[in-house]
Amino acid sequence: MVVKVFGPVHAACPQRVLACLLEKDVDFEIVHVNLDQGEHKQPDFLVRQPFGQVPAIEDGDFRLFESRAIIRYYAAKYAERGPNLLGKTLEERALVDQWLEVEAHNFNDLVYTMVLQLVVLPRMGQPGDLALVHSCEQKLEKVLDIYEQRLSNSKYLAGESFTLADLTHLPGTRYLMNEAKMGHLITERKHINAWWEDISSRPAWKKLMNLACF
Amino acid sequence: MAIKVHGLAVAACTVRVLLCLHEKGLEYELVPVDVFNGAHKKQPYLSLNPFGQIPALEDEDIKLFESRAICKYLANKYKDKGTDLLRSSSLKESAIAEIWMEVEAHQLNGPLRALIHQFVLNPLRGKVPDEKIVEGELEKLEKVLDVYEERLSKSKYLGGDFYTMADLNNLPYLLYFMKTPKASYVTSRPHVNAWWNDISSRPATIKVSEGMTMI
Repeated sequence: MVVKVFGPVHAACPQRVLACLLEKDVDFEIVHVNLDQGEHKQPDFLVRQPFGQVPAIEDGDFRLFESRAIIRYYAAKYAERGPNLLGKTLEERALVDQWLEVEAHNFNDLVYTMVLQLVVLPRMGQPGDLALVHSCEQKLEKVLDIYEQRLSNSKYLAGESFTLADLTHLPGTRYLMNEAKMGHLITERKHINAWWEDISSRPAWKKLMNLACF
Repeated sequence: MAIKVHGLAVAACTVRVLLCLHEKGLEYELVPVDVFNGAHKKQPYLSLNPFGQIPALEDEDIKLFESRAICKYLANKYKDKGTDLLRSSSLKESAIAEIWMEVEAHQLNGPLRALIHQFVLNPLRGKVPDEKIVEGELEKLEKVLDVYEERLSKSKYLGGDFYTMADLNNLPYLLYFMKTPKASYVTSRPHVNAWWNDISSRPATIKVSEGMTMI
């Protein structure tokens, strides 16, 4: 029985889950959800995810939503398989959780807003708010300065190994650098750039990029 | 004292950590951070949390920030003490709790925080609530609370039949929100209201809320 992942393969939050499943070599099937046609707001989908957002998963009769909850579940379920994505000691686990929270509360909203204004709205024929983009960019610069400092002391965010704390940044950072054309934010910072080069060349991420035709 | 919490007893994110400590029956020292004079944006505080936000935790050699991560650390370290906040003996129960922790963080936190800003922080600065912002945030809050109402009609607590961090994480901003003129958004929803009455009358909640004197 494979894990069904509901959501488009090109969307950031489903990618967070798919990257984790690929790292852990868990078989999955992507069930496409057509966001342009509002499929995620239809009653059938709302049963899976009451906020009408992707992704949701179905693993036999077990259902989950919220990508960061899903990756924690699979990283724990398959802790003995593949890379240890959660940390080995209590302290390492705490640092993984800490940087997962940093992504969720200090990084994600800024990146999401920039991608929405620079990429998504224009694709829908609406103008993006460039003043808002600029304001987000300035805040993100300060946040990334702190990441730069961290990564000058530590190969990965939570320590010397790749964990969920790094994985969770992959989808959003890729959008920021590619479609949103804000790559300088990453490439201008030596340690962040090295970290990005490393995590984005992992085989699991490359497999996902192929699947998504990126 | 082994556990030190750097923050303020009136501040929501510090409250989140204090609730966890009390649920676990742990001794700690609260080290006040002079946020009103910008101490959180300077050294030495920045060496505890480089993002310049409260709270931060020191537990012997370990230093952590981000309240939700601190709570998980404490709940993992002391999993056999006090309330079982993470259901760590069951992977599936733990996962369900994690869903609703994420829901609090990504759906409820935003509107509640914005409304507290309008109704609690603005008056402290001599300003009135901005009606347009309030209206927009209440609209978002309603949609979230409708989902909570549906969930809590099937489940005594958000994570299942037992109180977990999925419920606890909602308390800090809710405790202030329920003192604002908009508390009816909770009281008008029978299952959300019953849940609120339950979690707000826990001994740990009562103890910690004594320090929440901003409103």
